Amino acid sequence: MVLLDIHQLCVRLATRAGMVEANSNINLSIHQDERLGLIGETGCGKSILGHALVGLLPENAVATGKIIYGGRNLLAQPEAALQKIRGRDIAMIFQDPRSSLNPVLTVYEQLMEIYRYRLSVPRNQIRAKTIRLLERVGIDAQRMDDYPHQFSGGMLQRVMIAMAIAFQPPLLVADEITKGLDRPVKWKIVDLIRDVTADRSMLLITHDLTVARALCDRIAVMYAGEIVEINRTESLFNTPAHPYTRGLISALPASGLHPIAGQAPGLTGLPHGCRFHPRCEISEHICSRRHPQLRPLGNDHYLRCS
Amino acid sequence: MTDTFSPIGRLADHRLALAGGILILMVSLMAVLAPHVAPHDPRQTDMDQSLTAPNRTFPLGTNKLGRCVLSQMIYGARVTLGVGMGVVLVSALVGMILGVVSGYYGGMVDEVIMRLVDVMFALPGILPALIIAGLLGPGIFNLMLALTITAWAGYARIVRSSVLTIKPLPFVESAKALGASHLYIMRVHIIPNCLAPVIVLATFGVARTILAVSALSFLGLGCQTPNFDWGAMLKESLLYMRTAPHLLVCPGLAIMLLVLAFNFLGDGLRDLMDVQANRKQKY
Amino acid sequence: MALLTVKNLSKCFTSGFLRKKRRWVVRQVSLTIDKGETLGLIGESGSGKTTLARLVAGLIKPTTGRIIFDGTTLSSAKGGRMRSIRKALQIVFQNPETAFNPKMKLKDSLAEPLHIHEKMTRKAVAGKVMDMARDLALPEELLDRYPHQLSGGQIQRAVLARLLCLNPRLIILDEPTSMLDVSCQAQILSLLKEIQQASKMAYLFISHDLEVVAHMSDAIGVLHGGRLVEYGPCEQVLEAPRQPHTRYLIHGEREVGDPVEVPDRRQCMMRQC
Repeated sequence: MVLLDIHQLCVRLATRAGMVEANSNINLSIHQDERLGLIGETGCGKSILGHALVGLLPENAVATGKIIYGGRNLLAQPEAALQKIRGRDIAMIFQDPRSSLNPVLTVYEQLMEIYRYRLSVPRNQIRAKTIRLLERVGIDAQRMDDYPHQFSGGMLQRVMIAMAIAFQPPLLVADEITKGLDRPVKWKIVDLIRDVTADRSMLLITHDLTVARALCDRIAVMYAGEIVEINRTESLFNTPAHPYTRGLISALPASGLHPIAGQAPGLTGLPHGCRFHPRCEISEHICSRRHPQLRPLGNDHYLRCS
Repeated sequence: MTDTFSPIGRLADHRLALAGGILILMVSLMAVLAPHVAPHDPRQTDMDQSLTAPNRTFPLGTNKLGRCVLSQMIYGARVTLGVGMGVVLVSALVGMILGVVSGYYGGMVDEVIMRLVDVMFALPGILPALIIAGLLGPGIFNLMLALTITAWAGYARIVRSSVLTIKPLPFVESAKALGASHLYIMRVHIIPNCLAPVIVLATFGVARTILAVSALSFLGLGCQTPNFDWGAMLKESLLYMRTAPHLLVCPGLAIMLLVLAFNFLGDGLRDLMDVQANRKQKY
Repeated sequence: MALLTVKNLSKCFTSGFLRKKRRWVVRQVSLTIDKGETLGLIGESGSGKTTLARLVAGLIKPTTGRIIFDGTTLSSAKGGRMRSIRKALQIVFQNPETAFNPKMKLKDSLAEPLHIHEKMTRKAVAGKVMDMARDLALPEELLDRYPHQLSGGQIQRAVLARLLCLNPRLIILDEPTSMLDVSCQAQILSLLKEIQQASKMAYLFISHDLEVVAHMSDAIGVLHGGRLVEYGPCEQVLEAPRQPHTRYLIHGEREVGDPVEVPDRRQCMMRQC
């Protein structure tokens, strides 16, 4: 069953260099109880896509298309309605916990805000609920009166996860939550995420393929603002169809760190035809002329390649 | 919608700041071109025309000695604005140098300079300037000296904080690793990145200094006749408040408007710098 | 004779009133690096690796111990000798965002070492900067941009371009790719390998990413709590680790007994970009 359906989403940003299309014709669905990974390099537009889902696009952004959730188009909703959906239905875990938490409030104070002001929990139950929430994400209740600067990166990320699941939202959007974490810490967070998303859906935005492989059921690969391949996780890693996907996988340390030729294009200087063709090892003449569409190949596999 | 990316465009969004800027520009031009703009010689007395209300010949009236108020104001702007900007320029420079040295070298140097700053901050308001000016005697130069001595501390402290955030950043360490001398690092890397708060503080500083100059002149410690500035004009006007109110209103209003103008400009500059500093988005 | 020798290096940070509180960040570290060799250092955050990097680069002074580069002890080098050491011993930092002065255009940042060390005419400087950019595949239009307009990968390339013009012999790399994407990381690492092959460059490669370190290094040291707990040739450390902490880092969250694949160096000849 489809929980969230993105239909022909285009997000344009007004920049000094003119209008830039950060997301082009995105068509994606997230199913119930599914973990969907969205992988791509920095600047490919995946973060913007995540922000579009929760209605937190920057001021200079214009979004067209539809994001259907619960029968409504989220892009057409007024801010008041979006505020109700944010957190309760779709919760976002942001990238850098250090700048997302208020440094002058203790961790307990920031978490209990949710129970007190948004969920209107009776006063006498707030403390117990907050403690239970902290334990759920593996933080010792004794540390709840500490300030954010007293925590390590991994612990802070747990706090962010706690804030996101406090509402029990059916959909979590996680934006680069393992960036900058040491390896052992990263895998502990991955385990935690696997645990808390057992009964809900998630969109995991990351550039770390190993994390996506460990967590997600399906993966969508993004390049230069477009989705170039969608497939089930194991199929994607075993038989990657799009040359970019192949390139990403062979650039992993475990595969030998083979770089992909060239640089990702800036969004202002997109190539004609297929956006990847200048760097593609199998590109042909037609690739520079015709812009390929995302075609279904059966078995949940979609590919954008001529 | 204004172009949100050019700095001038953004400043224009802040209309009060723009208005302030324009007023300051006009007053400055007026002060610089005083001999061409003023209708009369401000020192020329004419006892027949003593204490006349604003009329066609004397647009803002005359004072007790028959001097044209408008001309006095135009020439007086030179002193008020000149002293204001001059004091701020010198104290900002001195404060910035001391702040950079203090933050960069740390240790004993830092301790000594900061304790000095603490002392300056402990002294109440305009009183130190008052005392110094009183000791040195009246006159423009002494006035400027007194005000500079009390003003540098604010800049030193704010620059030192900036330096402390900038110094550990990789590009400074890289410069050291490349073999740059201390002086090079301070000149090329540290100072340009400290300028933003200094500029904002300086703008507000001019406003404060103008008020201080006016106050000190009012008390008789600044300019002496026949030189004058707006504060001294205020002083003269006290005796004739009832009979010739224009003598009080004109300089008083002028001081107020100019100070407001600088404050608005400072507000605008501060918002502008803030946005530029926070504009980390790649989009 | 080794290019770099570190003997019993220790660093202690003092803080608090009367400088009473002491924190030993690096303890008794000894290592050597030969010309053309890469020594990898693995450690978690807080293991002292960044402090060690800065000590070896001569940016901070050791509390005890010595660093000998090309026959000269760093702490006693002065004046001209220090300047030539600075040219030969360079460092690359982790975070691309703060690698360059945000108020300077890229071309001015690239020209910095030329201004510091040589006296060149403006035209000569401009020409050299263009050469530097071209050598590292940086498009010309980037030269007029400010750091915040460049991507992480481009900045790290520019950092390398800048220090290469001084012909260094040892580059300390403090987590150079941990803020970069997978594909950028692969490009930068392949670039580093090319440079090493072309000019027999030695590297001190510090990272928390085991696989990357394994890929790049000839020898590996493991840093834990400021101490070098394990040190030896790459294959030996990874296949037969002796210390428990090393085993934790290698096996960590994997199934125990599933060793890190040590990539066959012959298979990893980099494709030309």
